[in-house]
Amino acid sequence: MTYLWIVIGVLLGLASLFSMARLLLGPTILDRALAVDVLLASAITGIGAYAAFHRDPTVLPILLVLALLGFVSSVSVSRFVARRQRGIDESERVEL
Amino acid sequence: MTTAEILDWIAVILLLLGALLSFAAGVGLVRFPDLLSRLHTAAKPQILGLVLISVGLGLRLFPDSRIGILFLVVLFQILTVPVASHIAGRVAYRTGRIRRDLIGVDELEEQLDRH
Repeated sequence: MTYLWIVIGVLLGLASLFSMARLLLGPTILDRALAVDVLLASAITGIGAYAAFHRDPTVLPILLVLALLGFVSSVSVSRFVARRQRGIDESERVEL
Repeated sequence: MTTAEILDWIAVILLLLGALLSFAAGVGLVRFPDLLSRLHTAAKPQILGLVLISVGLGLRLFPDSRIGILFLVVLFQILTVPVASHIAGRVAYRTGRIRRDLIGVDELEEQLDRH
């Protein structure tokens, strides 16, 4: 069973690395926000795996906080992009 | 094999499946070509992965009463992730940050043209 725990850790580490690669490369800000979301999902999975390995229920509130934070961050980034784009459209209309 | 050992094995296998889904999302983020397909792959660990992890963790911690928090985590995630993905996809479509050549059928464009 120890090998399975190691496999879980390696898979989560690789997932975080790939998300960070997309965070660095991502052509648009929405790609980066999505990469942060997946990174957060990997973090939730990792903390859950930690709690399961040590049978430690004290970290469960952290999972709750992370689950709510991801929503706030991705929605605020999306709203920011939408508002900035609307500002660009209006300034172009004034010039025309 | 006692009942506790069987529960532990089931928990470890569920956690392994959740980690596999996270890994698949990471690979999809790197390999897929545009934001809409990346949204598709990113939703897998956020919902199904979290449910698998929570069930595995609940089996591991079973007699403890604090596993009720896990139900709240899954509930909030199921309520919020579709909303966030929908807003991100809509903003990407409206601001032209998607690849039109990859879309087979664009029903939203027909709806927008009608108005």
